Amino acid sequence: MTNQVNRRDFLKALGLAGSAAMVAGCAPAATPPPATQAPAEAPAEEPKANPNEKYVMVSNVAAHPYWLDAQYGGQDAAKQLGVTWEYTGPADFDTPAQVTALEQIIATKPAGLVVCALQPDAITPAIDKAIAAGIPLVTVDTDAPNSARLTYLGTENYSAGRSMGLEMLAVLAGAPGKVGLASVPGQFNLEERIRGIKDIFAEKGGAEVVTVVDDKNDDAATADAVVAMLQANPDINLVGSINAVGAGVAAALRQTSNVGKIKAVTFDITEPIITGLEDGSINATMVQRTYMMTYVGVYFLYYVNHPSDYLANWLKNKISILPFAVDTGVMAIHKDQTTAFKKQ
Amino acid sequence: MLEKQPNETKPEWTGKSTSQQSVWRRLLGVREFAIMLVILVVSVSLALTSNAFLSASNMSAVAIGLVTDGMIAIGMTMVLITGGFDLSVGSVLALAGMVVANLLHGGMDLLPALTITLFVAGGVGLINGLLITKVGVNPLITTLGMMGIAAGFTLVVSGGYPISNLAENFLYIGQGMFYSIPVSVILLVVLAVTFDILLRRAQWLRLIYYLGGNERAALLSGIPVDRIRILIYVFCGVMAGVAGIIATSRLGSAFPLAGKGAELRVISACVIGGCSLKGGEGTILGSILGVLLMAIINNGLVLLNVSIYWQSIVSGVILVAAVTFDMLNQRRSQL
Repeated sequence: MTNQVNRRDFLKALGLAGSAAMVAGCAPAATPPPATQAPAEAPAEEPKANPNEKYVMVSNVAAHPYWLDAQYGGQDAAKQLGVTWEYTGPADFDTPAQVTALEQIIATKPAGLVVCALQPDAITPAIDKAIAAGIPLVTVDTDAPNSARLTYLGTENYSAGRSMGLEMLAVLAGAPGKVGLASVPGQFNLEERIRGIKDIFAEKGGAEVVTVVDDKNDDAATADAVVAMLQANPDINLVGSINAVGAGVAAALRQTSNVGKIKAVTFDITEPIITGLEDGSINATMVQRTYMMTYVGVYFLYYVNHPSDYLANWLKNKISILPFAVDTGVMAIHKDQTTAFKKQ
Repeated sequence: MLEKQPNETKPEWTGKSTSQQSVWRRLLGVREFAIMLVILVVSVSLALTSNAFLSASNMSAVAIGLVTDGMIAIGMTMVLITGGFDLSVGSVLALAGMVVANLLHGGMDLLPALTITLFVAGGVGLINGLLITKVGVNPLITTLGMMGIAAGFTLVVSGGYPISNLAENFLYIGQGMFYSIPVSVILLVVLAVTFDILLRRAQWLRLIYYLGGNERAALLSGIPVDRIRILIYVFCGVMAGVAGIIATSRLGSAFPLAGKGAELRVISACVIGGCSLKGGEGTILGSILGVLLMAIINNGLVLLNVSIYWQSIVSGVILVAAVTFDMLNQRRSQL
């Protein structure tokens, strides 16, 4: 008995470990140190972060690397404005947990809220609660258009699709295009992008969408689906991925020795997609301005909290000072621009 | 005769019988009391470090947030007591949500829609129970398989799309307030108290402890082991169905990925609350307190802005700690 852990020792160890973990977990996240940690020499344009003015983002799938740019945008805006930025939300896709987290954050009365409304109907009531409590709130990336949110910053998906269609025509460089697409059937934002692509093809001519396969939001499934698609449609000369599974497209082209013969245009940018751009398996990728969604979002929230006299007059008369929606748009990125997206 | 020297070091195990132990020691031995103490300590620390913790809106958010896990915990407790496992509850939650949303969307009235939904949920539990008792498949594998099947069915029925625009009277279940207490919380309290009392007092329900404690003895004393086990799995399915109805009603929409991860959270909460993974132990009060403790800790993580990357570490550590504590407790009492 004496050489086994007994209860008292276990509880003591647990207490110590628990306190240590809480202290570690409460420390600021491991990103560029905020201005407050630099003693007296804080640069003039970056005031100390005001702990009483907190802008909080409640995300969904919060641990997904897609949101890293959003975190950087919010942090940088907060640093410049001298306010505090916090980022939270369920690590996985868990809308009830996101709604619960949002309601709990509302109780802390932050200066502003940034919410990604991945399930708009589910989170609209909580958004309305925040606005009713007098907390300015903006939505990013996916909108809740029926809610009382002050503005939406994100990609207008139909226009993004049109831009992607134009880029595809550019990549084809005049050759008649037989295009195969990988997407998630039924996901609304992706369907909108496909609609944009098809409309551009109809207007400009020169290409048509031959088929759309289900990529299940997973790179491995994408690779399999695209290989099968190419088998079934040997006339396809361009493959597009509508969601962030470009790595799977590149893998499929490499596997079937089609790099350079079949063109590829993907969506979003991740490490494997950068590799694909550099080794030629991907010709171009459409990148969303995710950083700007939160960077501008925090600035907008700040304007609502610190209005000029002119705007204060509008606010007093219950006039909305922010645009209804901001299309942060997409950019077509090629091999020569990949350094912009590599980690420093 | 040797006499005890005054400063002789005492061994940890005093060897005293229960009646000789101090009141404090005895109370701490009661699992529910120990958890209430932990909840108190955590709550006080949070109240001191965050001024939003005790606000009415925060408490309300915490309470509403734990209702679905609490409903599932009522069913899961019974399953765990019989020595079983039900990993399919999260998928049944999603399936129930899809079914009720589809029925209401198709124009069905509220009560028939709810009844059919609970039947479907209970049906999954029935399949679980039959496979486990009549075919003899291990509960872990059976319910793991049903988890996938039910989740898949939900995707097939929904086509991957969420369903919204549900009737007002349905939304009242998850969003309504009764004298500023959320209706869903009242439902949870009523069901939890009812089944806790039944589990403590009703002889026909207390039989399930024998299944978990010593199944062979139960069988030999004429207890209809198979039938009881099937009923318990059906009950667990029904409770997951109730959770699905409330979850859908609360968010005003049913989405196919609802309930993911619920099974492990609920099992953790039940074990923290006193259920043993070997069966034969546990109370509904304990499990609900376990759910409450986990909800408060999650609340703390959000309010204190603990990095999201740390949050799952915290949950994992708590589960391992609770199970270890449970094991050490058992070892101690076996001496």
